[in-house]
Amino acid sequence: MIEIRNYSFRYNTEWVLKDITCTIDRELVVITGKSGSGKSTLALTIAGFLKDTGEHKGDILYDNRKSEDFDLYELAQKIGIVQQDPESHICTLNVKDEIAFGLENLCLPKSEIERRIDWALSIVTGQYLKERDTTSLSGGEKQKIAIASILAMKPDVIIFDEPTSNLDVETTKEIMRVIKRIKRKADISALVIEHKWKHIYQYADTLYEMNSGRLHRIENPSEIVYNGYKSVPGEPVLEVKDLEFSYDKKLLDSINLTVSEGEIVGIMGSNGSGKTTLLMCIMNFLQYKGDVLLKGESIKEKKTPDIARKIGIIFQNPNHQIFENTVYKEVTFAPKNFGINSDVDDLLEISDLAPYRNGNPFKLSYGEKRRLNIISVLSYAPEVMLLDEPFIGQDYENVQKIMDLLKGITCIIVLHDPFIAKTFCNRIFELKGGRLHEFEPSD
Amino acid sequence: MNLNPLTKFITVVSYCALLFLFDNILVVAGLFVIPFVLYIKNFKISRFIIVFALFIFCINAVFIHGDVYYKIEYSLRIVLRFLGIIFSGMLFSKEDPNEFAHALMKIGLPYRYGMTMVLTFRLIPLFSSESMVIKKAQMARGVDLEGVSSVFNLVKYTFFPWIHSALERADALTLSMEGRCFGIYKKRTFLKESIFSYYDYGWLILLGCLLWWSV
Repeated sequence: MIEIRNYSFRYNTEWVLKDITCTIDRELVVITGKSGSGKSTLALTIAGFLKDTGEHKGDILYDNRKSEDFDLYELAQKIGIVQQDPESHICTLNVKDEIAFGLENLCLPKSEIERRIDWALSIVTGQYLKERDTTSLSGGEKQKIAIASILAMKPDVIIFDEPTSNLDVETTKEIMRVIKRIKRKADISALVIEHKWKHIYQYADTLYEMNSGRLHRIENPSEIVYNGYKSVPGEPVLEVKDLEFSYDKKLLDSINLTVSEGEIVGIMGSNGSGKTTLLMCIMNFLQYKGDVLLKGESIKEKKTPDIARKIGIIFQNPNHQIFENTVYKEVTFAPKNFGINSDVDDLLEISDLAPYRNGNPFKLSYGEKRRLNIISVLSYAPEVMLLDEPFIGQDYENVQKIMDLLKGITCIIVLHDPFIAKTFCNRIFELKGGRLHEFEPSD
Repeated sequence: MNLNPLTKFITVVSYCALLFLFDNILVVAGLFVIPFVLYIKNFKISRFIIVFALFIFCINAVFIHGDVYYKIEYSLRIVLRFLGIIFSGMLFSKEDPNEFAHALMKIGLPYRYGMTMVLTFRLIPLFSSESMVIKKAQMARGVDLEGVSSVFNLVKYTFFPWIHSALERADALTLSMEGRCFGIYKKRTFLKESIFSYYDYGWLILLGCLLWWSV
């Protein structure tokens, strides 16, 4: 049992956690709240990772013993953390080694390790993955193995820090079912931190909301209301005709899609269905069969740098697409490369980034970095914008800000959240079996 | 006969030493044939290696003093040694790095270093795929990666995004590994035991004798 009593924490000046009181005892607790509200900090303090930093007030008790009485390793055996990106959790080359990792560190006998691997895999419903290499796993499978690797250590509590933010709807549901099973079958408490609570709250025994460092218990999550809009599409801008692409086997099979001016097209589909590949083909990063027309002109034979001037693309991870050392230089980076004079002050203003104009872009928050990526492309006004999962790790306020920036822009957006898709996209397609089908997603 | 990866590593190093211990062109050619045959049986040779080997041959042939026979023999010897090292090294690189790291830990490498090795092999494909994404993002923002300044641009605009995401990943990995008690005791169990069989010992003794004889 974890008991938190009037607990506050700060790194240096401002209190990040304020007077928090709650108990976690053999239940599934979900904490939701905006980005930067202190959810992840709470997770780290509970797990003992911030013991030697910052200032603490109040108590955290583990089975009635104060947190000061434990060292990090003792706490690690009581509390496990599963992080957002399983890619950064997995540190070995195959599934068995990964689940055994913690147990080997604890010097458990081999027979016990073997038993625990089988037990943990059966609870996360991943027995079929036992002999696989970690590199061959899909996103959802990797997260299952990350969970199993913590579960195998039999902690009292497992903290899940946004465990599903990289996953599609179906896989999100599956991971939540796994978490529910852990609580039921292994008798382990689960603390889940999430933005995507629409899919999550039905699994919770207790629900909290974090707001500027304060924790409130709530009965029902408030409905998210987006300020949606749909512009009236004009003339066709981008036409994809019978596009085919194969790696070893065929991934995209006769894709046909027309996007008109001002239209926002959403593309959904399970992880690995080829959504990113389709965007890479349009940009000519990959050689494909078929044709892509931009305003009636084929761009298949053109080189990527020539296409880039007309079609902007935003990649998944904001850090991979920041190249300069100030925000202003970053926004003017592409226009300079393309030889365009661009006045970016308005863009900085509408994206709320004007105060950081001369600041280091890598110091921005995750949501701010994402907006910076977007205005860095808007600054040279491409005809079409392609966005690859821009909403990962973004709370609803950030989603709204991103969509406000894209008002009136012709876009293809790859996304997982059906609610965002229904609110903002003129048309939604599902990529399945290598083909695009227009569809109406259910919540 | 399946030898321990460490035995294979020692074999490759000894083999490279042998290539230089003999000057007779026929012996060098004989030594070269062993990894060459093993390699072409299983893998394709890249054009780059052939071109590079020819280049080394020509350079040597042009700049070495002596009669034509000597020039050819000398250059051929250099090329055969070069290719011998390359092919034996490439054969070894097809080994499972995990097994190799475990073999090293078995003979006494502290597990912190051994597991660092495993982690490195785990991260290499991740970093290389990240670098590809960064390169694509650069092209999409109009960075000139084809002209004269291409290499300069690539380095300049890859460093920051790359180092930044590497640091973030390092943070997350620390949390993941310490959170699973990495480093709690001086020793740790290994589920996978690296095995040295009688074949390994026999082969290593044979190899030792061969080296001793040739010196």
